[in-house]
Amino acid sequence: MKTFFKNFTKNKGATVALFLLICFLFVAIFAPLLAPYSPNEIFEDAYKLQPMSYAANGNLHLLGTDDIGRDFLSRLIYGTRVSFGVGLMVVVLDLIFGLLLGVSAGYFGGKVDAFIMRLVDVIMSLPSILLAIVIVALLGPSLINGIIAVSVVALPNFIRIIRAAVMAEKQKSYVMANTNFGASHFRKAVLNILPNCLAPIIVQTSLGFSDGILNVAALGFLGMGAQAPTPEWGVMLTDSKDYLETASWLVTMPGLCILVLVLCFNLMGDGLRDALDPKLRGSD
Amino acid sequence: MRLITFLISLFMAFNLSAAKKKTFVYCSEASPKIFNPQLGTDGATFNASSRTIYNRLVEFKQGSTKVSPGLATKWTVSKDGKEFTFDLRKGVQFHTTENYTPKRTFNADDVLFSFNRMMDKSHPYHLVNGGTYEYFRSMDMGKVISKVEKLDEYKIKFILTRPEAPFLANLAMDFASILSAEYGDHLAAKKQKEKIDMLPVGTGPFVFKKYVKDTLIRYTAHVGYYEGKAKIDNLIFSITTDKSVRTQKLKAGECHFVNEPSVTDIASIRANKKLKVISQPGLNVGYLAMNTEKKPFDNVLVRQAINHALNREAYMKAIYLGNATVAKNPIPPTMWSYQKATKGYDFDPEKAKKLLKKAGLENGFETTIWTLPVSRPYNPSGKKMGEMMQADLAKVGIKVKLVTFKWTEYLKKASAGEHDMLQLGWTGDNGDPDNFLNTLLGCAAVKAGSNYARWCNKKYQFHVERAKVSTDIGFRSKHYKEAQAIFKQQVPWVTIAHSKVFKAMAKGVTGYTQSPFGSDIFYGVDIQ
Amino acid sequence: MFKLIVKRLIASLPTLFGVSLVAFAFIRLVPGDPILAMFGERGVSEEMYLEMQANLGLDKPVIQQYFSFVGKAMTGDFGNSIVSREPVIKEFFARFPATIELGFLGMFLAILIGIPIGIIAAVKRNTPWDYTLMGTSLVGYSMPIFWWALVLIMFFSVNKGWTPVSGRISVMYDINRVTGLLLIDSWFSDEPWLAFKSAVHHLILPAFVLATVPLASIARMTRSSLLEVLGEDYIRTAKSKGLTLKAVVVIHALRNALIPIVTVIGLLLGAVLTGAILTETIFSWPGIGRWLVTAVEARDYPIVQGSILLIACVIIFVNLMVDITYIIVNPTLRDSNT
Repeated sequence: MKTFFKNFTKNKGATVALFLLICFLFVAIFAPLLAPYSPNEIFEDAYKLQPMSYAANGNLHLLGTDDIGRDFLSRLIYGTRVSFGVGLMVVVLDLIFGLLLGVSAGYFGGKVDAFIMRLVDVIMSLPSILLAIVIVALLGPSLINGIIAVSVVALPNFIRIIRAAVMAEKQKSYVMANTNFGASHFRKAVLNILPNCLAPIIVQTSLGFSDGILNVAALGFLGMGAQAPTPEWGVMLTDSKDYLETASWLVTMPGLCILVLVLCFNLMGDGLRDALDPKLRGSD
Repeated sequence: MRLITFLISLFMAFNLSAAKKKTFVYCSEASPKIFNPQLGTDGATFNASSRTIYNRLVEFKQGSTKVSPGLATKWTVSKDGKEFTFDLRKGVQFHTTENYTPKRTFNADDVLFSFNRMMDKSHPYHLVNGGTYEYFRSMDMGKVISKVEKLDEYKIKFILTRPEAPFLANLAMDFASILSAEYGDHLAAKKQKEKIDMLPVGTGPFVFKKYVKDTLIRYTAHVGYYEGKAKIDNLIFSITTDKSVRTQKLKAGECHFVNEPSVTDIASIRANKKLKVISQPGLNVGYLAMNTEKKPFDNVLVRQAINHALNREAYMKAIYLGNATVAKNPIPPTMWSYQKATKGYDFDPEKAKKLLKKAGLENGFETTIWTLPVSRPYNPSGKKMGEMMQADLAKVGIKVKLVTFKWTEYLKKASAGEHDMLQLGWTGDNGDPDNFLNTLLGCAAVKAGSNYARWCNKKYQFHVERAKVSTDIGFRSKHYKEAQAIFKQQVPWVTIAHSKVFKAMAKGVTGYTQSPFGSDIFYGVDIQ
Repeated sequence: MFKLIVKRLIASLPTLFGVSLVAFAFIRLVPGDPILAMFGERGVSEEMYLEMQANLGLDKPVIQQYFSFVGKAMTGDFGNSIVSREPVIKEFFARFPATIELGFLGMFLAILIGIPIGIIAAVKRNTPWDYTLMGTSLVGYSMPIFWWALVLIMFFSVNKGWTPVSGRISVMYDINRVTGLLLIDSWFSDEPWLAFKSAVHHLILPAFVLATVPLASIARMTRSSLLEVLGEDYIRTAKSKGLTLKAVVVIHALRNALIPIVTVIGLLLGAVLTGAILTETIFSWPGIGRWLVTAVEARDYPIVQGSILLIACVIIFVNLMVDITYIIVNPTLRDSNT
């Protein structure tokens, strides 16, 4: 653990990312305290105000207002909450089902493995965003359904990584030794094998966050994710697409937020990999 | 060396002559479904087929809802209003295309062919390309027309089952376009019947040349057009589905004309020296329907309260950007029989609260609004309007949840009456008030699914039905005005807006007239 | 090798079966239906609805519809589109070249730029060069491309006017379809050079947008696999023999590093198709991505089920090609895999 921490902090990018993520998390949790206005409050006659401008009634709008007169900064702040939640839910869903299916496939092998991997093949031979679109169309467009769709699409990655790790661990002698003592499947799978394949799972979790946030935003952009008036960044982007020329900050800001948040998760994923994966750690 | 110079100059000369040909590029909003208006239901299909390739017996006069001669030069109506006899124009040429050269000019057989294809289930072309003739039938034409009779080569008679006031206007609609019977026979002989709707032949001002899927359509001017050759030589539809991209293309000079520019781009187009914008009040209405079969919307007080609670002036500013007027009647003010005397419902949250209290709902209630999932001139952004309505209604104690579905699902559920309140709108088909007042609010329309308020009022129905079977405009007008007064008292809808319809084009474009139906017609258009 | 290909093809049959089932079932489970989609605001009477349903074969039991779909698909008949009434296969191949052209150029750009970036970063490890290049790559890797496309359009097309806003080629050039790839077909037009230039001009921005994420992946993969190989013993030996670093990298290391790079490229081809859906939507590119999204919206069952199956075939085929390349690049694998 200590070496892990040392290795992780050695990676400056990852440390900065971790710090930023903590900031984002802080913003997400304390959104109601930080946001100057409610994200859905409509200020009449204050449509598309420039950043740093005052409305007629003297309200200051730091990042201006959107096309129907809502404070843009407040929406962005609440958007952090949505995006964090989205990432978290996607990852939790994928971890639950990924572990269930991945461990089964890797541990039991044979027919179970073949069946699960066929499923994975089917999902992977469909373009992911298309599959997500169809799933959302099926369930009805909403943020939750968008999250489910994105989780399904990302599931193969989790299954494959967990399966590979379990298979590799299973070969090792201590599991073999346990087999001789007649330990139950569950005990072996959960207690012996899993803790030893944590490293790749942790890395995948971090990357899963970024993937999830990106894909749900993409769905939102296509009008199949979060619904009005949820301040989701992808949706805010589509909503203001028409104002690209006249009010470009409405387009640039949410996109930038998505980029930075995703970048942070990816940086942290890199840092975790470097710190956890001895193969890359030592090379040089 | 001299040879090269000669060749270059020759090449230049060739180029020049090519440049003299006038090519007009139109950025259209969607791919046409098919090149036969009989089978189409959407504007993109009509713009690409009926308004370029085909003609009808009668036509809407350019820029108005008045009916004028087309392929028929004149007509008479029998006294009982059940027989229409048309004299057909002589010497009208069909298009000559790569695969087909017509041997005769237009005559009564073509009219028979076109209408029988839609009406007669045993017609050899009836089932071609899955023909169900949606528009023809949703205008109830199958039931109205009992028979089409050829009197001689240039005389044709329509016999109706009942007097139908809008009939003549219906014949000017897109689905009533005239196809070539000879071309039909030609294709039938080659066993390529389905080509009739893909490689079209008509009498219209432009000849179809080529369609590259989802990309472009090419036409050339019809040299032998009966009203004279179009001023432009080539017409190209450049299919561009994104509104803002269309405007960007216009600004970049990649097209001369755009369909439906986004209202948000109008100001920047106006500011551009190379472009111009024209507009006219649209033949449309955007509304919020309240499902009168459901509680509490069965109570007229609640409906009136909601009419008072919504700040429609604010929507005009934020959503239509000032390019619409608040609607007070279900028909637009440009339409005859418009009831000027109607008093609108002012924005008055206090009065709304009082009305709710009177209805026994002083604590408000919870409900849903379905927001329009597509952008239409009558409502450019249903979602944003929903968000504003939600905020407005919250102030009088009504808690609203916004709901939306993909377009097809939206319509299906709405037709079945699953909604509480729902945003929708309408753009007129033929300029007749019946097309609004009966199609959208009549009792029969509840079952047909196009009366989204599911409102059936006996008194209202009486006036609308009386008006429909008469051809006397004064008489009809009187009844329609009565109907509007009843509507306004009962308010099954919150009438929201009649929007302006915009067309944006390069400065050099002349001769374009806006159609009240929103269709784009390029005959008579020129570029400098 | 031949045996391997046959084996792989047989192994992909169950996958295709699964895909056909998923494609068929999903689009039918989606609420809303194609007939209503056609009518829009005006609604449809029950009588007409039933008639259309019968016309389109949608009144038959679902199981029967499925088997008729699979049976016909095996003979290459995917039915006709509900909206345009044209054969699905014809509609598909009318648009597929546009996607291929965009995807191919995107991938080409990604490889052309990505690999050198990876090499430079690896060779100059832990220098500002490395940090800058890898930092940029990670940004590229994290890019929400729908936003990136908007930003690039705003800058290059709208503000600067350097690239066209959308479309594949200027409508002024009348191109006859030979291959469907405009970079080739343009040479058969009246003004070959100008038409070709116009096609390239239109391609460059969407291709770059599409290339962004794969480019970053390839650069990162190239760097890390090169580093791994560079750390191995025989490279050290080569170095000690006095070969310059450059020669070592190019001759020895890159060859071995190629294996994971090829794998990544193979995996990315699927991602490119996904990216193409978003890119095509934003650039109004007339490829299959945009077309499919429209078809899902119109509930055009034959198109959705047919083309999803076709796309799955393409992806499976590409994966097979990647495996073969894999073996060619790394001959030692040949025996163990066959």
